[in-house]
Amino acid sequence: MALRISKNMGAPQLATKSGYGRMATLLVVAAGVVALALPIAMPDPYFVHSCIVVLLFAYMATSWNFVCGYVGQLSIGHAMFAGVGGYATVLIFSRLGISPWLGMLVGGVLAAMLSVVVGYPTFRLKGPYFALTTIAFAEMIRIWVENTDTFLGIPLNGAAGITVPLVGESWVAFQFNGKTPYYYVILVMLVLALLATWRLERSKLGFYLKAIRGDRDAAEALGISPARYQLVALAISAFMTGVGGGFYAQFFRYVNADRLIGVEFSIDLALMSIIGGQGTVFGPLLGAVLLTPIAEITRGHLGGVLPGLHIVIYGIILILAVLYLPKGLIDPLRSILSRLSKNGRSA
Amino acid sequence: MTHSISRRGVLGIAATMALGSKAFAQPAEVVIGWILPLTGVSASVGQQTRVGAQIATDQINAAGGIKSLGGARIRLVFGDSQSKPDIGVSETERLIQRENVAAVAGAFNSAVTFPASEVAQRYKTPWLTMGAVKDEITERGFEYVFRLNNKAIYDAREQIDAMDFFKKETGKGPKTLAMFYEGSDWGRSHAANVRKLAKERGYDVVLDEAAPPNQVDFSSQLLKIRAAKPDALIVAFYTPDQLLLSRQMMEQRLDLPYGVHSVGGGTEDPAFYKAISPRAVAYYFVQEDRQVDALQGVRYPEYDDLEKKFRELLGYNMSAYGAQGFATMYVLKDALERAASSDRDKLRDALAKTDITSGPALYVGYQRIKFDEHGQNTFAHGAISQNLDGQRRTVWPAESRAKDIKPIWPVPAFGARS
Repeated sequence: MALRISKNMGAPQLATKSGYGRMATLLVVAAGVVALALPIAMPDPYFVHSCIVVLLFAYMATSWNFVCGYVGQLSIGHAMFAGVGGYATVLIFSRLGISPWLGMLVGGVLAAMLSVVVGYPTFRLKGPYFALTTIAFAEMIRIWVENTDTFLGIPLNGAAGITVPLVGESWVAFQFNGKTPYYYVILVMLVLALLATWRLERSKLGFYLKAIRGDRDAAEALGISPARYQLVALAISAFMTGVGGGFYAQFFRYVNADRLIGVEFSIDLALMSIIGGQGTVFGPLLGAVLLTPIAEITRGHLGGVLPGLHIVIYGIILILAVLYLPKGLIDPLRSILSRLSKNGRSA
Repeated sequence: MTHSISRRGVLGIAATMALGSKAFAQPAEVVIGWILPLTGVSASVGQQTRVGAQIATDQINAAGGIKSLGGARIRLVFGDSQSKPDIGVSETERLIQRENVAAVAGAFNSAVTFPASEVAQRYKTPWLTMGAVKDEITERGFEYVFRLNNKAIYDAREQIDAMDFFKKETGKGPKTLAMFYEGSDWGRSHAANVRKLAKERGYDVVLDEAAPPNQVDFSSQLLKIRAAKPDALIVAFYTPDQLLLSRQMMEQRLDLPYGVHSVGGGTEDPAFYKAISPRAVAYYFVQEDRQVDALQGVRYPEYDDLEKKFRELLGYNMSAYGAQGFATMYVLKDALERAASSDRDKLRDALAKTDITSGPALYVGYQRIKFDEHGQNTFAHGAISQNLDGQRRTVWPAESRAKDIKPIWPVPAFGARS
């Protein structure tokens, strides 16, 4: 069962207005207030920078979860959508002088178009075959970009990567000297992605996808076309990931295929969703909020002392999470919430 | 600083560790940050650099620290970039914001150095580039960014210069060149520079071939090279690919009258020579980042200590990366002494006025270190070695040659070797 937070949900079985629901709502509102106040309360640039990285990964993992979590298929190629978005944003700005705000949307649309091309053949595959095919597609694109200096007159700059031309502080050019504007931009993007996922859970599409996840053949027998609805969800997910890639480019001011289209990036997104709780609205957010700082803190304190140890520790945490919390970190959180709300009612 | 207190409250783990390390610190110390690939594909390079930098720091501290700062000791903090640009950027933010470093050095990978040095520029913190050769790093008008080592274009020029020189010396030389290189940033940008220079100097490039990394077989490309019949072959590969290529070239007895010219990478890696038969790399010309047989100039007592400790810690002899880590610290020491301050702006100004003509800072093999208005050390140069009797011996520039060394030019065919 997914986390229910709304007060006015249509489906009767959900409209319990239980203490649990109220607790969850309270928690979300509190998290929202903290998130809004964070850069004002703690304007230290490194802290805000780290928060932006957390939110960016939370956003990307939420985008990944939009299709993979609900369909139950493992994509390890989502970086290709981020790459298309990132490259498109930078190129549209540097070549055509069009604002990155628009460029990010164009990048998202291009990523969605690519996802249809990729998804059409691959969604006929299941399990490891689907995962392998997504890796193959992403790697093909990465290797192609790394080995292409210009394509139809567009300078992809091969493996060297492309940089965002600096113009100084400008809203139109999406460039700021401080960190705070980036923080609020990615926060809004994350909220929109969460809202989209929340809407999906309650939409026909969401129910179709869950039906496909439960039993693909049964769903098909009921007249749901798996390929079609999976493709729709994938296109939306790719669009969101592409826009996220655009944000990555603007924030780091540099994109290269090795990282942004690399398989490690894809794995990161999948891991955060799976550890946090895939197929739930807040699972990927939770995964990113916990995993990114763990990686950052262990790297910061152990990276220079005993090289490699931080990766070992990160790995051990992942193993423990998968062994003991197979439904994701959100699962124990939910039971705590419901226990708390029960206590509240009896008191 | 009320901020720092509230921050520590939030980052619990960070607080305990930060306080713990601060309690033991000396009152006067200068913190220098390093961004290096300590894990991941370039980890061995990062480790070699780290060890070199640490040995230099220990030497400086043991010799009384920074004298103009009342004997302040240098403390190093390392950030692991994992060769990823975004992680390099985040770690640079951390070193500058949290560790309060006076300067940052790094980061070997051009893809990390490029965006990370921009962070340093934004916070007005001196950045000393180590290892990264991408030309543009010092071409952005950033007054806080410096580079000790060669730009990519210097590497290509040295290879062609050496060929021209051998030709002048012996009256014989190649007319046609083939280029075979790894298909990522480094190999491609090197090939582009060679292409440009070869054309200017009248060489005919008969084959220009990039290979994707981590090949399992080079046979088809070796056939292409054989068919193109070049007089000399220019290669740029990292260690695993270079191993395979050198082995297969020997197995297939692919002869090149004027030899294989490698622009470092695998052929500069001590691990490469451990893994390959000396026969496979005989007569190789290698463009080295530092003079391997270090004949020129004075040898300082610091060098023996460095080379001994380096071998103890890593199990092989000094590498170009260890040398660069070591030399970078002495360049920073020189600037700190002159700045008499660990203030970032004063240190930048001191770095900009650097003019070193003696001392351990020259360990890499330079005769002088002086930055131009872009922060590039214009006296940076490499050396070309030839593998003679299992040893890489410097053959170019001629003034760096040992008395008994003369390049074998042209090189004997595999069949004619003993």
